[in-house]
Amino acid sequence: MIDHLSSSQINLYSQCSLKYKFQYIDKIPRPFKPSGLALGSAIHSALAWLNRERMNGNRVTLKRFYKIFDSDWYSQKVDTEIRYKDGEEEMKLVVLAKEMLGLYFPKPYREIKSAEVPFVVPLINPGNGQRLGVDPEGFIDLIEEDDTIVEFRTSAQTVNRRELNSNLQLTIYSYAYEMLTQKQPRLIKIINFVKTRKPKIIVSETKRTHEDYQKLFGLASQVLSGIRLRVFFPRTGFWCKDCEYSDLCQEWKGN
Amino acid sequence: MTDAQKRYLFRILAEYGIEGDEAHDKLKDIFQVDSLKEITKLEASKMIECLLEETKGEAND
Repeated sequence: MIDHLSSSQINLYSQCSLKYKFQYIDKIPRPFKPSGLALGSAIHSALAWLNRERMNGNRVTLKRFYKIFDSDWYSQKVDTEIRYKDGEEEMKLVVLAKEMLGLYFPKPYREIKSAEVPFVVPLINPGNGQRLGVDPEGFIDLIEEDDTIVEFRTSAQTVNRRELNSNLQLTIYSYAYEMLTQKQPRLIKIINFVKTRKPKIIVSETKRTHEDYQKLFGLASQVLSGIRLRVFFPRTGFWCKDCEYSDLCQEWKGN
Repeated sequence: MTDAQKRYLFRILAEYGIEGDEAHDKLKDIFQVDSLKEITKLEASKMIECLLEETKGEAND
């Protein structure tokens, strides 16, 4: 039933297990894509392209970078309804995204060891050596020459210190890096593209310890138990207003 | 096809100067479909290989 676990899956199950069921168990196509998600994906993929080009020693112009973004943004919209928030307009979002990418482009960058690194690693409790049996998987955005893991994030507000230190995705990336290379990442760096009226880029740093990996194991094993026992129920919160499955959720009667 | 394949196809066409709606129509035309949702992973993969070969050929000319 389940052969791998990503940070998105764990986060989604923890936030609303019913949405997890609709998306990952029933595989119900999402009737629309929230604009924030579509824009974040297009920014992310354009950044991945840029960093791969730089890693390969290719010189890239800002014009070509924008062209890749335009293409990636278009591919987000194809055969999909993008649901905009009140007052949002596509053109304004595209301009905002290009302003953010334009801020990133000229920044001095360190030598890149690898970009978009896929991983599937066994999840082992560092406390007692127990293996979960379902392996975490994902992609690390960027690894710099000095073993710094870089994660790109697009958000409406700056990621705060508390979130930075407890973010599950970063814990999984740090853990995966250790499993893949047998050494700790030097740092985890978040490059936060903040979608304020005047967009900005905030760079923050954090680290993870074996205690964090133990917590990750605990959380992943509880989530896995819930999925295996088919514990799925709606949980209401601020996330419901953007939920693609709200109609199905309204109809849900416990089946 | 996967989102990554779709993105890649649009990027390849953009490199040829075919962008936006024009690229969308071109892909529907190439694959002979009404919607890109009809394209399988295997079909997309073959077409990407084919387009990349063409690009390589042009670079060598």
